[in-house]
Amino acid sequence: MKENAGIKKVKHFALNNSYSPSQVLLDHVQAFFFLLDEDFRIVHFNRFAEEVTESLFNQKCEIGDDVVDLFPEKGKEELEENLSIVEDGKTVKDVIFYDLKNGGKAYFRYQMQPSEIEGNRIYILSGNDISEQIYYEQKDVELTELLNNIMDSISSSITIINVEGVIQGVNQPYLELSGYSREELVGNTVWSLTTPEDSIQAQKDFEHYLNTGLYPSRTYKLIRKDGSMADVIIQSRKKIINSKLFIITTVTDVTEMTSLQRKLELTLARNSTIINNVDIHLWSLDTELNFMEANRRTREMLMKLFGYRLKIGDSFWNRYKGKEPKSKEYWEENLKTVLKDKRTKKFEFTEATNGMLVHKSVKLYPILDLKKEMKGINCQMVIDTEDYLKRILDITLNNLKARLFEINSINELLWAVTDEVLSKLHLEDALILVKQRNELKLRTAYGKLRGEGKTVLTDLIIKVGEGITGHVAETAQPLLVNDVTEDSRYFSRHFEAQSEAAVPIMVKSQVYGVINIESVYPGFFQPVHLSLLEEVAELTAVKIAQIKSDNQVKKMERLNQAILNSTSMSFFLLNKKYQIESFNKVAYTETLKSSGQSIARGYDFLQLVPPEEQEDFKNRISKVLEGELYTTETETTGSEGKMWISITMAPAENKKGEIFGVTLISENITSRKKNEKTILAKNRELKKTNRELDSFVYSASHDLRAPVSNIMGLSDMIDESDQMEEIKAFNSNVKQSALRLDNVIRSVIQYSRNSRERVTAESFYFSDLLDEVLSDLVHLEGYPKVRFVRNIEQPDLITVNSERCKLVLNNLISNAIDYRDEKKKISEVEVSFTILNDHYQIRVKDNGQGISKELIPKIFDMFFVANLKPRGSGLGLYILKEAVAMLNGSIEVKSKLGKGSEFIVTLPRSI
Amino acid sequence: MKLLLVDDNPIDLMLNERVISKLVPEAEIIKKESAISALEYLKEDGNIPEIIFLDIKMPLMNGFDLLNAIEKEDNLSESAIRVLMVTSSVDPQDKEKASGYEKVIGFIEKPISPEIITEYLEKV
Repeated sequence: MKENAGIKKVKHFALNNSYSPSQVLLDHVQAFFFLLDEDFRIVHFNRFAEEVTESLFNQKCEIGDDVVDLFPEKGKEELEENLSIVEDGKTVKDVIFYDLKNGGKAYFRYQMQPSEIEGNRIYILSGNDISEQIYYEQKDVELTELLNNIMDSISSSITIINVEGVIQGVNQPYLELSGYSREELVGNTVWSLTTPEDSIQAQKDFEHYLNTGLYPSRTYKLIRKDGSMADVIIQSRKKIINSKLFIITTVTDVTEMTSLQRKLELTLARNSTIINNVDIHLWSLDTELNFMEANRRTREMLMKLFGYRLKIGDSFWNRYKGKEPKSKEYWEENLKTVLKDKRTKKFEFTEATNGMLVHKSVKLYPILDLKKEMKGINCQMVIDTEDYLKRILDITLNNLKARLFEINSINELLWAVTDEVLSKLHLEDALILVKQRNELKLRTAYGKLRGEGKTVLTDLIIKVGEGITGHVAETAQPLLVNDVTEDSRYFSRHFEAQSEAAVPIMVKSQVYGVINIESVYPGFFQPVHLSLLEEVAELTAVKIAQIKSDNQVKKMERLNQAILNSTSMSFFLLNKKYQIESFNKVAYTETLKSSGQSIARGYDFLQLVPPEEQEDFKNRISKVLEGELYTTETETTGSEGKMWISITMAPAENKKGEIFGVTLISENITSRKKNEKTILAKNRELKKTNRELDSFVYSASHDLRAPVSNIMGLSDMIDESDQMEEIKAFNSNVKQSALRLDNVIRSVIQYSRNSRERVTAESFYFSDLLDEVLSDLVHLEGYPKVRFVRNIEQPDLITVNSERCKLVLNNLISNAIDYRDEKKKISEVEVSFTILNDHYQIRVKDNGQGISKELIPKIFDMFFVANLKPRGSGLGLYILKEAVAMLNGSIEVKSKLGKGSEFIVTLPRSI
Repeated sequence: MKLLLVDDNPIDLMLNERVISKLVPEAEIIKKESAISALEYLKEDGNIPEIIFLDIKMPLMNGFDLLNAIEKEDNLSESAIRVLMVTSSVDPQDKEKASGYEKVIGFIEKPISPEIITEYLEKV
């Protein structure tokens, strides 16, 4: 049906060899037309043809192209076959389908017919989308047949009338329909042919059409010349011919049609009126850019936006009435390009016109005649107002929301907001500034301040409180200024912005930054801008807060890990099922070392616990899960032998304070334990030393004081006495006391020296040392009474600390002399020296008083005095024992009371 | 009056005897050079002195050992024996320890002075 109307138009177009001012309409019919030359090369095509090849075949339609090349492989053979039929002068009708990307199918009915222009053979290829019909066809084959019949049976008639409804011309089918001759019809009103009732209605409808561009869907009764009646429907379009408005009306005879057929025809008729009513602005301009035609929407729009009543023939620029907006540049530029390139051009822009924000997407199609001369431009424009902005923002916000999941830095986020949202708002400039102390620093930009990639061109800094942006940062309130020149807060930066809007990004009730948008149009920003920007700002703020807390958590986590990894302690976080939730490096390496197990998240910690201890461990854990803290130090056997470990278990709490697991910290404290033991031993030693020192001080002071007090007492006696004999006796006692005092002092010095002097080894001959010692003891009272026996193995070179060795020998020999047994005839002291494998042995044996068995264990104690006569200081053997210990040697005593004693000192050969 | 002097240092014994005999010439002074011999003397019947002048630091058996032995001997512990500790010791522990004995009535540092001895004798 549709193609019939279309083909006729093309025929008309072709036969008259002139462009049709109704190219606009031709372009908006849902049928495609190709005008082909004798070699099937494209001479002309309509918009739908262009759209079909572009969207369906992904081919660009160009004048001069071989039409066969436009079609895909599928169906090409068939097409070529059909073309050869057309070449023979016949008309071919066929249906072809193509698969759509969405899985559906597009069905096209097409028709090829030969024709002629100025004696040149041409072909017309036309067709329309019958996908919907085919859809029904699949439902009901009968219906399809019916539709085919309708198609075939249609024969439209056309009449041209003036604004008064007077017929100016008719076509042949119309003549056939009405039965009148052309002369009879021209000059009469169209409604004169209808019944009286319909005549009135038709007249009303015509008036309505002139005013609104719409014809009601109505069937009229047409009275033929022979008096018979025909049911017709009409569709009309306005046409300017020689600056006069005419109405071209297509009359379709539907008498023979069924009600369904009529319905379809009516729908079709209405379709043409849709052109006038679609939400698309359609108009055509001539090459001088004067209006040739415009649909109703266009006229309404011009009236609404510019207060301009369109007159055919007026300049396209008249609507501005001298107040030219920036968008005039776009129009001029694009219209010029189309006139020059003879190519379709698309462009879009957003502007504020008469206080209204409008987004305009424009398509410009060149109108070419067969000689490819420019005849004018068809313009198609879609206008969106706020809804458009909302839609764009909805999409961009959703895009942004979708991207937010993958964003994890604030910088990335701000650029995403800029590129995904702000750049889509048709603004001149959009900036995000971040507050630092009392300044706002430019972070991201769209527009003039945008640098290469994700950079900004300048280090723009705005003081808080300064300008509109600064004001917003200060007040934390969004601000919309639609005429900045009237606003004192505005200060010009880089271009002449007329409108400016800014919203704060509030993170934790603090201004984090400001989103600023600017437009060169005054009144550009609408409340919707502000509310949408606020939504963007909030979305941004929420994400910033999340990133910040994420970063903090990550930072803490990193810090924690760093800390955890820098200790020698193993950290495990166990959940209630004893599985490892987290652990540090030490935990991993120590576990690997001690048990050969590689732990990982989810590892069952029980596997690390010996089976016999598992029950205990579970009980322990359950107590810790109740909030108890547990610490222990235990000795276990690991791969490296016995070791000490300390274990601390503490409840792990989440932010809400709920216990969700257990932190288990273990540490190998073997070396610490060893040190502890050493320290304990040292402490014991120190305590002993201190005790000894204390008692030494008291004992020494006692032993020192005793002779002194004797001397004091004796000197008193001497004072009082006048008998020489008595004085002499007292004086002898004084001497004795002085000797005793001297003895004590010597011992103390010996003791002190022994414990303080460094132990260094020297080499000397033992015999020499013995000589030295004996010579020191010569002054002793008993010395002359003792016989010394030497039993020294040669060579007697010895390497030890000579001082201490001398001390040992001195003490042993002096004791042997002092405690000799006076009852025995001969007192004897035997000194032996032998060098054994790894040690020296010094023996001092006497036949003196001997020591009772019970006292032997005590004799080396400090200040122990075993003998009454002579009374010693109790230090000698103590000092001796200490000296032997310092030489890493040992001392042994064999003694029998009344028989004598033997002291055996063993010294290692090397220290 | 019977007085017992116990000291391992014969000079001390001599000096103390002279000081005390000047203060109480009528007293019978018994001297022992060790705690062991002192204990032997005390264990003999009738040898119960009024006061024992007792040194602390003596070999084998010191002053405290003798005090312990006296406490163990019923006839001695029940007797009216009084003990004066006479020592060169400056160890405060010794003084403290001595005060724990019921029979000890004083702690005198050597050399002994007649004034202090008089004081104690008057008490007895």
